[in-house]
Amino acid sequence: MSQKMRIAAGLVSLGIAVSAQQQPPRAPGDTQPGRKWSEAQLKQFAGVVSAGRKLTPRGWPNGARVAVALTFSLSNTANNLARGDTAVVQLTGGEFGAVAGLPRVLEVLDRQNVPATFFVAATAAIVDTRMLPELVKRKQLEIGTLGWSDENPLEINNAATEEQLLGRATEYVSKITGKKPIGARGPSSVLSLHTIGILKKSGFLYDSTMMAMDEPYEILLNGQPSGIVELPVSRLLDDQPTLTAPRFGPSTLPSPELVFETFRDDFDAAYEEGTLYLITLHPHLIGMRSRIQYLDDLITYIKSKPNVWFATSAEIVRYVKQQAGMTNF
Amino acid sequence: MRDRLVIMAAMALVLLTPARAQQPPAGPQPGLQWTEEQLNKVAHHVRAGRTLTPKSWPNGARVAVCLSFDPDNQSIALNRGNNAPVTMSDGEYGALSGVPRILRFLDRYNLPATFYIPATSTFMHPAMMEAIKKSGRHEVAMHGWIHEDPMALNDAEEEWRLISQAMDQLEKSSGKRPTGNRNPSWTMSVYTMELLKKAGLLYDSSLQAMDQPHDVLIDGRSTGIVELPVNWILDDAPFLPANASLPSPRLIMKTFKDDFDVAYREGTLFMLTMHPHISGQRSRMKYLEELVLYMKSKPGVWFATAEDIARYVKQESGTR
Repeated sequence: MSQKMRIAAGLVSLGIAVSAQQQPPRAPGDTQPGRKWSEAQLKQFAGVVSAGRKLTPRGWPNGARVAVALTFSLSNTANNLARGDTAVVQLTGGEFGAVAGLPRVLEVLDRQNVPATFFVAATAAIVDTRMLPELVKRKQLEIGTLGWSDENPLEINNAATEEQLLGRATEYVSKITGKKPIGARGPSSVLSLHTIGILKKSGFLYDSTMMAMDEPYEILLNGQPSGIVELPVSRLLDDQPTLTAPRFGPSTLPSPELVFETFRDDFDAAYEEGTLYLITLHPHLIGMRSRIQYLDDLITYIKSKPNVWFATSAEIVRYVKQQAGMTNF
Repeated sequence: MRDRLVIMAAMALVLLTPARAQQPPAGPQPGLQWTEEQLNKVAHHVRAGRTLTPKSWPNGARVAVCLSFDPDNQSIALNRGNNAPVTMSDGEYGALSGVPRILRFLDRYNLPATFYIPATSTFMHPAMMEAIKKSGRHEVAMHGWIHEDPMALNDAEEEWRLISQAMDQLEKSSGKRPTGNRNPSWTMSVYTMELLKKAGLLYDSSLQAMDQPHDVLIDGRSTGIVELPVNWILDDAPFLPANASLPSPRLIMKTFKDDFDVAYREGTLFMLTMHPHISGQRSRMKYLEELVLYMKSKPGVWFATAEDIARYVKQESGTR
C-alpha cells in the first residue's frame, strides 16, 4: 500500500475513533499515538483481526501442485451510486463492465472452460439485470458478495448498519441465483473491525480481501480462531491499481503487457511453492479490447503447466477446510 | 562531559534558527528573507564531511554491496493509530511471507544482509525475529521504535526516549546491541544526529548527500559517525507497490543494475533498500535474484552487512 493510501486509511480511522474499547488512549491532535502504547496495547489493537494458521494442504486434489482462482469483482457503478455520484459519463464507465466487459470475459472463460468466482455488488446487479442470469446459467461459476453497493465499511463503522447491508445484499443475490453465497469480498476492498464477526454470524465460510500471506489461512478474531478462511488477494495481482483508465482515477502502469508479465511471474513462483494463485480482475477494466487477450493468454500459459487445479474460491475453501480438519465450523 | 557541552551548544543553535526550517512562519517561502549567515546555519546543520571510500575494499574487492531490508510491517499504521484489518494484513505479509522468502533466498546464495527493524516489529512477530537471527550472517539495526516520524515529532526528549527504548528492545530480541541506524520514515529532526552520537552508534544510513560512505558533520564539526548513504531511487517503496510509480520489477531492477555498474566502475558502495512486504512478493523475488546473480558474476564484489562496511571504512580512514 502506498504512503498516500496508508495516510488516507489512517485519517479514516482517526476520524471514526475505532470502537472505543479497542482503541488505546490517544491525546487529542496527536497523529502518532502508537508510539506511546505498551506492548500489550499494541498487540491487542493489532490483533482484533489477524492471520492465524496456514491452510495450504499437503497436496491439492488429484495431485495438483497449485490451486488457481480467477476472481472478478463486479462493482461497475456500485461505488459511484453509494457515494451518490450520478455523473453521467462516469456511470457509463461502469456500465461498460456490464454491457461490454462481462460478455468478453465470459467468452474467454467459456472457451477456455475454466471455473471462476464473481464477487458482485448487489446494486450493480440491480441496475444491470442481465448480468446475474448470465453467471447463473454457467455451472462452473461461483457468485459471492461485494457488499450492497461497494460501500466503504470502515467509513460506516457501525456493526448494525453493516450487518443490515450485508443481509440485504445476500438476500438479493440469493433471490436471483437461488443459492446463498458462502464467500465475501469486502466492498471497496475494505473490512471494518466488525466485518469478520458479521460474516461468521451470517454463515459465510470465507473472506477474500486481506493479504497477510500468499496462501490460504484461518482468520483470528481477537486472537481466537474464527473458523473463517481467508483466500488472500494481492494488490499486485489486481488490475485496478495498474490498469484502471483515467476516467476512474490514476493508473500506475497502463501497460497490460507489463502487468501480465507480473501476473505470470507470480504464477511461476506460486507453482514452484505449491500454494495458491488468486487474481482479482474487474470486467470494466480487463474487458477492454486491448486487455482481454492478455487474460486469454495467461490462462493458456497456466494450462500449459502440468498439475494445475483451476477452481472456484468456494471449492478451494471447502477443500482446505476438510484437509485441515475444520469440520466443527 | 564534553559530549554534553556539545549537545547543549547544538541544542542552543537548533533553538535559534534551524527550527524555523521545520516550522516556517507565516509566509510560504520564509527562506527568501534569510541572511547568508542564517542560510548557512540551516543548510549546514547536518551535512556531509569527507568521503570515506577506502583505497580498496577487503581482499582487493572493487565495490562493497549492502542488501538492506526494512521490515516495517504494521509499525507505520499502528503508530498512526490505524488497525483497519486490510491494512494490518498488508503489514503482516512482511513478517509472514516476505521475510521468510527473503531469508530462503539469502541462504541459497549464502549472502549477508542488514535488517533495519522498527523495535515494535520484533515483538509483534517474534517468529520473524528468530528466523532473521538463525543464520548468524545478518545484522539487526535500528529503525525507530515504531517507525515514528521524528521530524513531525520535533521533540528532542521524546525522540531520545524512543531511541533508547528501541536500542534496549533490539538488544533484548537480537542478543546484540545495535551499532547502526536507519532513521524511521527517512526523516530526521534537527536533534537526531546529536542523539545518534549520544547513543554511541557507529554508523547511520539515512542521508543522501553522496553515493559513497562519508563522515557526518554537525554544525561543521566531525561526528565520527560513518554515513552509508541511501537513495530514493535505490529503494523499492516509491516504485514497486501496485499503486506506486513504476510497478514493473523488470524495469526497476534494470535501474538498480545500471546503478550498480557505475558503482562498480567508481569502486565505491552499492546500498540497496528493500521492504519485505514489497520485494518479498513472489513476482519481485525473481528480479532481485537476477540482480544478485549479475553482481556475483563480476569479480571483486564484497557483499557485506552495513556494520562490516562501516567498521572497515572507519578503520581504513583512521576516523575516531
